[in-house]
Amino acid sequence: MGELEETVLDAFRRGGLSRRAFLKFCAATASLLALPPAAATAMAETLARTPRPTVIYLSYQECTACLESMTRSFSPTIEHLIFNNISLAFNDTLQAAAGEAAEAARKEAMRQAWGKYILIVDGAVPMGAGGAYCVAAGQSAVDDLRHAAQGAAAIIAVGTCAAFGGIPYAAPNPTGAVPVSEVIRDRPVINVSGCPPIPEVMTGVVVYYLSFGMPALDHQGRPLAFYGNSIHDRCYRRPFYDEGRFAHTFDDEGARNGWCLYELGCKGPVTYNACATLKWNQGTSFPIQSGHGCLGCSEPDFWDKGGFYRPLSAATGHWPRGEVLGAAALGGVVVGAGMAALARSHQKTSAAKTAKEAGSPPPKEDPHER
Amino acid sequence: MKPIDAIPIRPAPASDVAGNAPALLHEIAAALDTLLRTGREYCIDLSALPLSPADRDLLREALGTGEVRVDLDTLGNSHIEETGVPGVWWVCHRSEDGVLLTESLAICRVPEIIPAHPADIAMGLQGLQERMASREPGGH
Ligand code: SF4
Ligand code: SF4
Repeated sequence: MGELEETVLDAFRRGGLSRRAFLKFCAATASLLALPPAAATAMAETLARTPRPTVIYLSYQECTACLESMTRSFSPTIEHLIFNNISLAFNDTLQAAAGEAAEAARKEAMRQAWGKYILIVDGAVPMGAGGAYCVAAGQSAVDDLRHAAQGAAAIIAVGTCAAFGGIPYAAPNPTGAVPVSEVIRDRPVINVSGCPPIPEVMTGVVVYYLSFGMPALDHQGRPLAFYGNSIHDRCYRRPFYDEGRFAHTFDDEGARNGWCLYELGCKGPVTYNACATLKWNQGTSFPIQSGHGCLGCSEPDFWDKGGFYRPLSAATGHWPRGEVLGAAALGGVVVGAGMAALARSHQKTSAAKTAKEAGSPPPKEDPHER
Repeated sequence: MKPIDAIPIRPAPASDVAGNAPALLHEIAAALDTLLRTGREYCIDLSALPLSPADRDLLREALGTGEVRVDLDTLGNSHIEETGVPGVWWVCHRSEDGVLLTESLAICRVPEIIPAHPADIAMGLQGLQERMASREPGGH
């Protein structure tokens, strides 16, 4: 039996795990994906005969937090199983090999699974200066991605940088960074955004794809199973929002009582992610539960939205809340808005962003060179 | 931060209301009826439902406690127990860190995860035979 014919169930067995462990894994994943429970059985049946996937994980302009998120989940978990024991054929940060040996290993893994592997990309892709800002083994990120995409059965952009450009894409975007979907335009890219994404979400998307094919995506290319609700929709502080009870500083009565963080800049109402339900660190907590507003990290351009501590603007339709605000909060709003206007006047909208909004082809040259 | 119930405002609908359990009981009854007539199994994912403590109490009370309790030790602990209604199993899967992965009610004769699977039996048999062979004098 060739390596590619080994099924997911075989890989479990090889790792010393029983079929019961496999069934448990399927039950937990189906529940995680909010699939009807019968889907766990269907998933087990499919995965028992699905060839073990080859996952090629490529990193470009990124900070490695996406990988940290995935590997820092505590002792052997479901995430570890699917990525480390089962499928990960190439990841330059995790593997022991380096330099030419690493490149050779990657070429071999891609050649063996050409047309079948799952390509995970984290990091944005710099288009400026002919792609020279990110080069490994003599190949630019953009050329590397185009090549790797050709042999991929599915492409998953992990993290906000790969999905929407993220931090490298933030103004003034000196490297002309673009998201994966601007380099690969002829096929769908599954965007698993978040800075970083929740580890269970990354696993869930891979398992869903293996069991049932392409997941349903929202208008930003994100799987609806995880990005279908806003943080605000699922926030446990929501009853305080509805009653108009807000924290106005991080140490006032409202903050101490766990009231809504809207006035402290929470972006929960416009942010779609699963933090409020899945939470972080094995379901321990999430930012709002720890007393800080949502930064909106799973949304495009979250870095350039005018300040993490500035309340969402009137445009979101929430401004009538101003009626219940104290003077201090109103003062904060005005200062915040002024700061944002100032910040904007120092920025010029990057050509890459304009291109993205207009849906035109990606800029060939550094968009900042005029 | 104070615990949420120390805040004088009720942050969520009062938890002494059992809103979903009565409907669940109907679902369970219908599933049992189907199981009896056709053998078709059913499963209700409790982790996906908003259940108040009162809902849980009502469910526990209506279903009661049965005769079978199974603890599975694979990828962390799983606790499976038959409720007082034969054919209704309460299933809790936990990770190795003890985090609840999923909780469900399985309506079936016995949950699929319990019986030994032929492939596992074959592997066990092979291992047993190897151990037997190595114990025999002369190794055959
Ligand atoms: S803390 Fe944020 S997400 Fe939660 S209710 Fe307030 S605005 Fe919405
Ligand atoms: S709460 Fe908001 S900022 Fe924090 S991780 Fe979730 S989506 Fe990102």
